[in-house]
Amino acid sequence: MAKDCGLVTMTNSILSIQSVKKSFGGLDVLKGINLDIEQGKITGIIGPNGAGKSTLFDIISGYQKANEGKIIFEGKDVSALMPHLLARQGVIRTFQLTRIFRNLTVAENLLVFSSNSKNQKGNSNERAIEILEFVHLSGLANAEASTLSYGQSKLLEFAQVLMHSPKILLLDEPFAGINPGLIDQMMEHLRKLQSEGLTIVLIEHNLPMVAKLCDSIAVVSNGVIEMHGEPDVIVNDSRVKEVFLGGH
Amino acid sequence: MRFPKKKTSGEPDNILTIPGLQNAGWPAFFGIAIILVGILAFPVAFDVRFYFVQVGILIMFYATLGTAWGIVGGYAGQHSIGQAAFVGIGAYTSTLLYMKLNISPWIGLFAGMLLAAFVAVIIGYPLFRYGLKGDYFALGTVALGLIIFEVTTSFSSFTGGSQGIPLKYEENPLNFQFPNRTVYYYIIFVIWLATVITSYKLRRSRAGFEMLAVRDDEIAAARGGISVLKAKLTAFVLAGVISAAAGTFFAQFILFLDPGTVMSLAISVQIILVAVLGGMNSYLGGTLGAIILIPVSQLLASTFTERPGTDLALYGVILIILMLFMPNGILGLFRKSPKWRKIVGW
Repeated sequence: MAKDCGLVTMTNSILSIQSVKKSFGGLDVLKGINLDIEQGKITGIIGPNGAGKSTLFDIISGYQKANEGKIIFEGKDVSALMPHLLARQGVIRTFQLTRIFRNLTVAENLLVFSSNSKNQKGNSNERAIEILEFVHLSGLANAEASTLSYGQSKLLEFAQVLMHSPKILLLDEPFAGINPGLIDQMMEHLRKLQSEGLTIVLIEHNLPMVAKLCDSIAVVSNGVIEMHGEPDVIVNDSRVKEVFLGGH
Repeated sequence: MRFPKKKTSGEPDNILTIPGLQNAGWPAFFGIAIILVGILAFPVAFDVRFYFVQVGILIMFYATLGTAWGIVGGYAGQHSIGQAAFVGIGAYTSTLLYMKLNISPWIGLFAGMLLAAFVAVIIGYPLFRYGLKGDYFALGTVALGLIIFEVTTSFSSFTGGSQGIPLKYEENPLNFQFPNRTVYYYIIFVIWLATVITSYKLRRSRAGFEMLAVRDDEIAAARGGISVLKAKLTAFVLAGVISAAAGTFFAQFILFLDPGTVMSLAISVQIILVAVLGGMNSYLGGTLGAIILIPVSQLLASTFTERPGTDLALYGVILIILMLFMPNGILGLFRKSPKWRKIVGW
């Protein structure tokens, strides 16, 4: 049973994860995850390696099916939907290992993402240009994506998901490999997106960064949500300190 | 989809232009017009021997098949090794309708395309739905080719089996048979041109971009709302339908049909080689590959008539050398240039 720390009541849940269980060949990775994600908030998910965070993202975004439990998005059970159908509903994610279209140009990587969403906003060209400028990739718009560095690929993936005008954005370690100067700008942009009503869930190992950015943090450990609450409370919890900060 | 319809002024549109000839400006269109006029004039203006017209027919036949294969193998990244099965479906459907029911091969052409689409869906759907990819998909298509080959060979009372079927000759344009055999040159020209235009338009369309995305990363494509199954199946069906049309043409051209002539594994391999050598990601790859490979194979075959197999061995060596130095095909050399990769549609 999760210990609620600070944010006990979810008044406006956009995504509800209900008793989700997942096992691989007898290994129980998720043992009954319950988590409500509040509309328009940034929620961080932390936990040790192998805790099941990315598996949880896979299940929410339809890439894996839960053995038990439900995923409710905007009041509808979307547990059985294929990933592309969930994406069209506005559930968009990034991956821990960057996934881009390596043989397309940077600009084409964005154009591919421009209209398969019911949520598409505005002119896609203008939007692509704006997003490319934001992630400092406009100078590489015509370059083949395979020529990008790891950090640039990460930024391109981030740009892709923004292109899709998501309703909920699932970011799997979005800041890993990104230039520190750009991280602050990305965080600022995430807050701006939040102010426009976007809901964001992110998995991140950098605890101070998560605490700085998120409205709430859920701690996944041993396949369950151990704690879920306000960043200050979570960060100062002795068990979290033990795992993430070595007890300091 | 909100891809730009045309290039307008200013930096933003420059970075988001779609692939195509408009990136080369008017010289490209002028050059293409000259090439097309040259192709059309070739049989009549230069008083060439019919042998060379036949080589031209073979080039355009394989250019059509290579371009069609580029849609499924290059755009969608699904390496079908049994593509000759669809050539055979087109050839046999139109021929059997003509021979058994006296239905014009012109109608048989569309019947063959329809049957090819049906077979592509029946075979492609389970392969793609249950995630057969890479080598496993390729093996699945090899099986398709072998099954169609064996079925055609086995039902000899109906198909003529390995003995083949000589087509009855009733000279009549309505029967796809012409007193002047140069007409076949112009028929395959139309089929080839329609195929290249289809491939070009597809490369510039939303559906084409979706195929490229699926080829590069299926998981990321699905994350973008793209139906991976639909993109792959569309490419497979389209390539099958075009191959069937080419098959109908070929049967009527050679007036004889047996499984080895239209649907052997060697033909499937030749189709792939043509596309890969030219550059399978480009709408021009199949054509360029055929322009190089078909004359070379004809030349080698006629040079080494007394030493059978030597031509094939040399052919293999040439291909290995080319692939070592140009793994992405000839048009793949253009991929590093932003302008040229857009022109050739890489």
